[in-house]
Amino acid sequence: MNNVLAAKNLKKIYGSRGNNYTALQDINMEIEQGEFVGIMGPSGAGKTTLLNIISTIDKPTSGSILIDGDDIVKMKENQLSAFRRSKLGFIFQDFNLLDTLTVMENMILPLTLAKVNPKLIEQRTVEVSNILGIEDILYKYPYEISGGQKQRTAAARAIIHQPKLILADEPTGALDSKSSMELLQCLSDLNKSNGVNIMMVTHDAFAASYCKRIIFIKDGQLFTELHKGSSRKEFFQKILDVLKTMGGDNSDLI
Amino acid sequence: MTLFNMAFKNIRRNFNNYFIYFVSMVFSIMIYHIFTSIQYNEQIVNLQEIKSSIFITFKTSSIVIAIFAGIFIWYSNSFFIKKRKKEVALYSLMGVKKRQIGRMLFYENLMMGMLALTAGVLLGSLLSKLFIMLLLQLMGYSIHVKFAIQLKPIINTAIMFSVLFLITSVHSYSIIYKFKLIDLFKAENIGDKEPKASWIASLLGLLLVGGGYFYYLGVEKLHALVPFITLALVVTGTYLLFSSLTVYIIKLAKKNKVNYYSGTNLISTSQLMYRLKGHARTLATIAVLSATTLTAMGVTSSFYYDFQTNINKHYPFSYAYVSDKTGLDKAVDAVIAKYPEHAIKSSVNYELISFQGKLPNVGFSEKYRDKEISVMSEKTYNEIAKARGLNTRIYLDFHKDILFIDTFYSKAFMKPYKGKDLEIKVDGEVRSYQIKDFQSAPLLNERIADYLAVVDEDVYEELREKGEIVYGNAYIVNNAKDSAALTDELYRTLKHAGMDVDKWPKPFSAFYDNYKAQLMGSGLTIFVGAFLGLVFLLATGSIIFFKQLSEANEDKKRYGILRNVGFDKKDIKSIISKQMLFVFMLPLAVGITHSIVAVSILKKALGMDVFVPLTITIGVYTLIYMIYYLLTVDAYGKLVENGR
Repeated sequence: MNNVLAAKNLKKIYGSRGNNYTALQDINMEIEQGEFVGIMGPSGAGKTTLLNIISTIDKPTSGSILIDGDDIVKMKENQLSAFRRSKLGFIFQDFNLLDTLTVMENMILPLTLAKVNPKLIEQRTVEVSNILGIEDILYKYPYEISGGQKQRTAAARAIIHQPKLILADEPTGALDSKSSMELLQCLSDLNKSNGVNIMMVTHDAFAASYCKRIIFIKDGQLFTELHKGSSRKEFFQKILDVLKTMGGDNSDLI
Repeated sequence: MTLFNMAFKNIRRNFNNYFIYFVSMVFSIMIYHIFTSIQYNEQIVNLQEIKSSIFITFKTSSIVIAIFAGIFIWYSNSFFIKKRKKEVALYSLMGVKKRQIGRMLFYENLMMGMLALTAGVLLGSLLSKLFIMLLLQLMGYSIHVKFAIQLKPIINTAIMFSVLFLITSVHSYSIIYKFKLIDLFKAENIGDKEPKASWIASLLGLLLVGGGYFYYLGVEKLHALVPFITLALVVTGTYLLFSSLTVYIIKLAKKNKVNYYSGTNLISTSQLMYRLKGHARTLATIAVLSATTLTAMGVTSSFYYDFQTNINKHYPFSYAYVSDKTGLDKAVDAVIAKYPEHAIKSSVNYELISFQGKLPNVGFSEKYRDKEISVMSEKTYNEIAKARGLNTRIYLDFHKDILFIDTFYSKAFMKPYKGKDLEIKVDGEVRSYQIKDFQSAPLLNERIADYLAVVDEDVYEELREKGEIVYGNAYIVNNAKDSAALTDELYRTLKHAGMDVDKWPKPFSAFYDNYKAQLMGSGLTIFVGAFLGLVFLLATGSIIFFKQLSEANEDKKRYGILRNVGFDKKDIKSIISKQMLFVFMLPLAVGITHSIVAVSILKKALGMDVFVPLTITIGVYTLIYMIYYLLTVDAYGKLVENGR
């Protein structure tokens, strides 16, 4: 089994009797080892619901999700938080860095939770900060660094404990275009050279063009799928085309 | 909707926040009301012998409570209003005039106050009978207490606290005017720099506290300035310690990577560090408050304990009187025989010779050393010791040696007697005796022979011809603690026989008199001390509680992030518990240390056993304090949990 993630017949219905709203309907998807998958779709399509369910924050109404071979739907609360800690890494739109901790301390949070020994922690810090280019700001506090640096710190925190899957929720949403580009390049490099598996939710076509594959959802159902060809520019154009055919209010997508 | 309605709704909605404040306020008002009720209680006012002392004690302590409650209400109010800054700014933004907002808060405040006042007075009136019973019990009275609701103390309490509430309401009204609308849009104090630890300040703090201790414990002679100097040194030192040394401690904790990088320590430690600047002053204040409360309670309980354990040492005989060797003895025996419940357990006849003499120099100037000195033979001493059931017997083997007893002796203020010479004037010539042994506990009851020299049999025989001989009898009876009637009748008998019972040294000493007087005094102090301490403790606990909760509000977002990163409920609970433990324990530890040093002077100066009462006091204090800790951790946890 080479799948990092395998979702089968996922269904999520909100509300109670009489007043139901189907957020997800029969979602089947897989993420293989070494993938960088983007999730796109118009507002209200169910992107966030899907992400929440995969993040184990929310439970599906029916269906199963295997992450690294474990069915997270069947897990209990305690198992889930342990699972979240060891197998998943998160990157949020608004960074979610603690302003009372230095960059380094923010980075190593997942390792301290796992009670890894300090020597290994320091070793990992050096490795990861070099990859993300934040080795010069390790002892600074979040309020002393730029938005791009903050998001790279968050990315470092997400990968430092070598999780199976990185979940990124609109990671470029709060960044200017230059910082966005740098961050996306970083994520792309992480994926290519370090084999980090990433699932990124975005509605920015430019950000999505850094992925290797994009899954489009609309009205809670899979709409289509795109694979990256040779060049990013071509891919970007294809994405825009799909978004156009999906219709809906696309004005904010471009 | 009128402003008044809005104020009412605000209180109802925020009642969870207000609850602890409300409880502390009701408690303060209740105790105040009970204390004033005691002042006006007819049954107590009619207890002749203690009327004035009770009145003054409760009057003063109720004023102390009022002042303290005033400070507490003032502090809590400004806390609540600052907490509602955003709400106030929002009203402003919507165009509500500051005058109207101020009026709304004023109403809220007044309503809370009136509610607390009603509850406090009601509870106080209901419980006053119980408290008066407890007080009388502690003072050794067994009187049936009538339940009475009196108007005077109610009016007194109502006026006192209405004025307090009015003043604090005006204060909170004025705070509103200091708020600026821009505050709403400003990001909350992000970017607080890590506090710098100044080693000079740390060292100075340590030196000041250490110096204060050293000075206080080492001082040769206590004088009026000692407490002030000590207080100034220790209090300043405490504030310095909290503002600088704590930073060092946390920095040190950060250096230990194995511990720091393990689990939730990283978060709790860094949060503490971040908060420390703002905390330092509150923590130091709490330490000083705890020290004050513990010292006051420790001292009163030590006196009470000392009295209960040592009354038998000071008054070993139920009765002792100077006999005229005629009909008096028979009369006394006849009186005692009338009370079978106070049967004589043991008795002894003794004789002393009275001389003028001079005490050796143990630290007093010449003129204070001329005293009347009683001389007793070693045989009499041994007989009295036997009657008391003591195993000590003395054998003076050298004619010039004596055993000396000075019941006023204090180790802290006086040099030792042993080895010094006691002078006695015999027939105009001065004889000198070497003090071979010394004790401060009286052999007979206190005030009968306060300066007593026990001499060799031969020496005594020789002196007997030359001084004024005093004969006496001493009895130990059963149930001496309840011997009011017997004691009364003995007094009458002795007075009738022509004895001047008020003379010095006392020709008659009754255990019961002294027991009763001391029981009243110490019962009164422990009652007042305990309840004042409780009021202080509740207010202290509430202050930390508020302070922490206001921080929890600011920390909501941080805990949200932690949850996102994968911290579960247990981890967050552990972070909060650790953080709060530091915040609660550090000032408590410092307060306990201060109070132990402060109370230990009683041991040094008066030779009192302070260990047991102080341990009990600290134990009870810590227990109640820990309840506040648990409440705070719980409330903090709930607050940040809802902050998603």
